[in-house]
Amino acid sequence: MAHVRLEGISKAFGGEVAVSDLDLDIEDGQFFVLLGPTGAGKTTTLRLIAGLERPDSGAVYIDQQNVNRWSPAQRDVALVLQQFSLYPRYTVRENLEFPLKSPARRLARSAIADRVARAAAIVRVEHLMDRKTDRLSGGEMQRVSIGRAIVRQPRIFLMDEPLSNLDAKLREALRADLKDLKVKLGATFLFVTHDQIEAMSMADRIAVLHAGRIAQVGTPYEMYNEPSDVFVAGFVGTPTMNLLKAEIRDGTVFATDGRFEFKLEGAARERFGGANGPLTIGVRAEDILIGPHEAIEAIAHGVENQGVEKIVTLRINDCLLRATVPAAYPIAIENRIRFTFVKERLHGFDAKTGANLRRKQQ
Amino acid sequence: MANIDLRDIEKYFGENYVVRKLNLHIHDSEFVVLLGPSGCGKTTTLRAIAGLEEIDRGDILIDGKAVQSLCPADRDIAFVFQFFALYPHLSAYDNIAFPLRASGQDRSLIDARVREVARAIGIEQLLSRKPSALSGGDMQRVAIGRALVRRPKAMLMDEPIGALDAKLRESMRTELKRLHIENRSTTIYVTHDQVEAMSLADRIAVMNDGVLQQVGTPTEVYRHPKNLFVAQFIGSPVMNVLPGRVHAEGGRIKLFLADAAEGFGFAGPVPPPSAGADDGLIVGVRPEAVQVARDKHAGYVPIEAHLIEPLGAYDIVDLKLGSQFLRARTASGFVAGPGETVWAHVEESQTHFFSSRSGSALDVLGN
Repeated sequence: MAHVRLEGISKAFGGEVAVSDLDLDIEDGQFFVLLGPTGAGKTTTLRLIAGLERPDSGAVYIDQQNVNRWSPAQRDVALVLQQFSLYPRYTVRENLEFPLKSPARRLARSAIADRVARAAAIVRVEHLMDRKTDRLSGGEMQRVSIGRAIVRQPRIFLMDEPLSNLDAKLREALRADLKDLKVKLGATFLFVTHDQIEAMSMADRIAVLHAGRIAQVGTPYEMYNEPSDVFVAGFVGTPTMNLLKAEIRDGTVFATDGRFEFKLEGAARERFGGANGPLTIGVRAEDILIGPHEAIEAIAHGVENQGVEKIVTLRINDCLLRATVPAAYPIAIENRIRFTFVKERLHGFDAKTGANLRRKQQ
Repeated sequence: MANIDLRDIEKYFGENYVVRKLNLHIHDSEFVVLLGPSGCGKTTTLRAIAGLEEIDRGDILIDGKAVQSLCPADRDIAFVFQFFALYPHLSAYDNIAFPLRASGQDRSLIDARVREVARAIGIEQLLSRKPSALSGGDMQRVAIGRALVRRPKAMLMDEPIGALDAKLRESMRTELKRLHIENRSTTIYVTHDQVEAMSLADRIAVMNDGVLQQVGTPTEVYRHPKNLFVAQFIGSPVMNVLPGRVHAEGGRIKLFLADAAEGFGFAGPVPPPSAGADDGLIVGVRPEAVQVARDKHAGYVPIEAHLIEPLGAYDIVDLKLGSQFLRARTASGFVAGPGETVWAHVEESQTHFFSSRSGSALDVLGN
């Protein structure tokens, strides 16, 4: 268990800036997720904490100690990667024992057996202990990799896209397993992913990285409901948040491409920080209401049946918006329909900087 | 436009089957998606139709004519791959015009066709650009334009949007579907992504281990999966699958799942007692068919919430059922936290029964 703090970390490779002036605070016992697209600096950040990279400037603290000069081994962290690095000709048991047999550890046989048995139970591989790892499925291999991290009782678990190579069903199961593991071990986890569903489902806190900088740090709820800027708004959530160019005049919003307008009142008006002039409006698919008597007319540009619900793409002149409706809702391509927004759930973003107008005001 | 008929297609590498006894009829102007995990034989099947792969047994018929001995060019089929194979030194216009020029068509005719296709896929303003100046989505549009310009009898697509980011995939899905509705060319589309399959297909053909598992409309495969594989491959979050037991007492039926002590009151049809008598039943329930309430209702069972996954628009809650879990989809924030006890029930019309031996869906009484 450990508290991790990054202070003003920068790192470049050649001329390419990977992370820039990064501050991060990961509390003891937290499941912390670094989320972002390829090239955002997530893996570099993780490697800086592991001690596999040295920062150009700034400091890494583990439990208030500056560890910049510490080797990876001294930092006592465990890494789990996307590619399982197991010894193929060893059994599951031998793979789990391996990190404990290092002469530096000087552990008694009984202590090793005890730790291996407990880790095996946690990751549910007890029935596979005598099997060679090349005879395991992908999900089993990744569980053994995680087990091998557990036996070491590290101060921090660092995980880099460990679920990316698995199929959807396994990913879902392991998501729940990892969340459960964090509860059982009470350990600190730093988990790197580009998959916002993984981040949302597992994290206590998420940091969204964009081009080497932190766009926002917060709980999954905050990321989804109070995105700090258009990047976070568009990156978190599926279908992706609708973003439309608009202009506000005296509390009335004109959608530029859609050439339609609607009024803002009360709480809705407050969310926009009294903005006037051009802005970007953000609206989630579930905050668009479709019904025969709603205010704005549209054409159904696309209809996708997802089983549990339908995703309807609305076309209003040159503007396309995605909305979700129940699966049984009768609607077909090119139908005329009417819709409105749940106004108190709309987001307003600065047309130039992309910052959420509500947060700017606070 | 074309009918495509696959009859008893078999393909093997040495002893191992890649595709086994595959029978599939694709109607004229239909959009069929071959869906399955990697290694299920879907791409091999597609490549066999294109003529890029030889088959060991069976017949491939296009408009009633066996084509398996024809070379790819003579089958009049266009192919779009995941990785846009555009000519880097040619403009978008020249890339699209290429197949027509290769067949020596008239200049003015070529120009008219290229512009018509460009309009249909929304890249008129990009025609003079080289591929290096295009975004991933636009490159893939050009690749699709090049396939369409020949007016092929059929379009074959292998994960054409798999390499694009989430946002672009969403908009490309919509555009591909509209394009198909306008052009009506028979389309066979390969993907491992069930969301794409559900969104695009007129019919989905689900494959696993070289064997066709089920063919049906998106609604059919989602609402009436024929076996456990289809049930758990389609839909997200994945369908709950648990061992179950039906217990009738005094005209009332209770459904016990996993090793839970209490059973759900169940008013719907159940399989005849003989169906699962020997080896038990497997019960499948999608997370949205698990009803969760804060208060007691008839037929509901009190269950403790173990984990909550907040996905933004909704939550997934793992309910503790004996030593296993039942995942429910609830409104965001509906269950306050782990450890809370809620009342749960499974919706009868969306409860599936499978044989634990074969994995096949069981008929229920009253259907």
